[in-house]
Amino acid sequence: MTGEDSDETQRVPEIYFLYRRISPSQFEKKAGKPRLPAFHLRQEPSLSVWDSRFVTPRQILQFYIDAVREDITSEDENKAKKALNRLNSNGTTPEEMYEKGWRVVRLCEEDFIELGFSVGEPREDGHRDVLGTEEDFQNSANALVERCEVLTATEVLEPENSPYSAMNTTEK
Amino acid sequence: MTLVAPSPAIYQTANRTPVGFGEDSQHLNSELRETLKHVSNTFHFRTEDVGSEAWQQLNEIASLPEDWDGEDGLPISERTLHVAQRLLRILLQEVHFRRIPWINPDISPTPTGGVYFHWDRPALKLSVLVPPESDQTILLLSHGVARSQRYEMSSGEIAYTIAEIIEYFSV
Repeated sequence: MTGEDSDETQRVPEIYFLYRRISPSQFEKKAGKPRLPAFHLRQEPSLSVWDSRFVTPRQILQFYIDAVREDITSEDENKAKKALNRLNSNGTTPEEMYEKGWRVVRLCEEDFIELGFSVGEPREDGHRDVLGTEEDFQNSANALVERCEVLTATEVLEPENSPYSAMNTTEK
Repeated sequence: MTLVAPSPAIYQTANRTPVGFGEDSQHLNSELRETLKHVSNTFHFRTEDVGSEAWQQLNEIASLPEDWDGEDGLPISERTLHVAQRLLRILLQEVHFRRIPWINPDISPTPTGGVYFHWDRPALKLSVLVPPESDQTILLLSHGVARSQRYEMSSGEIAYTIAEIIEYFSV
């Protein structure tokens, strides 16, 4: 066996997921799964997901809180007022957000690819854009609801220690 | 069981006049109007009673403020709400005429101001999307984890097709 072969056989496929944050109004409690609009485009050209190699589900909820806190200090009165409302309605910690009905679901990148979408490269914070037309997302919403896995409270709220940073720590 | 998704052609081949209220009422012929009146008087039928849960869900959606989802969700416009209400009324009438049991959908708002009606049956996921600011409605039929089949129709056509599907499942 050559050295090259040895490298090939030892290479383990990288396992990762894509997370999507689901707001309480987009989650059907009775059925225990997201509603179809959870996979619709908003007033943006792409659907936001996060790469599990870079962030934990808990961090995804924390991102929301951080962004809202930042907006509270905005000089734009309307923006600051909206942010304050958001904080009051949704909580100030990931635990409170989960309690108020926020959820995180997990999908594979292949789920999006198989449905005809393309997924952009991860940004520094692990955010990735799923690209497709509004009609594509409408036609695929049912399939994405069926394919996604809703994370449990334990999975969402486990201590902040992303697989990516854990891997780096081990290597050090 | 092999389920064949109904085609929009069902509507045309069945030679039915769309049943509607409000803006549609001018399209009703007098004979049909009398029939509706008779049915209403005989059975004291009110669509609000039969689909009360659906009406309640729709009313709740109608009163959603801006940023209702904490992620810049848009409120539902009067026009979109009107189309959604008309769809629900026509559908309830169709179900009543056919004497089939009403299956309550999950009704939810979309982030851009549209409304979804969703029936989640084991063999078929049936969804109707009322897009924001549009008179057309979109029927989406989905099996398993594949992309949905998509049909764009008027609310009358869609209501008739959904009633056909509900009847199919209730037999």
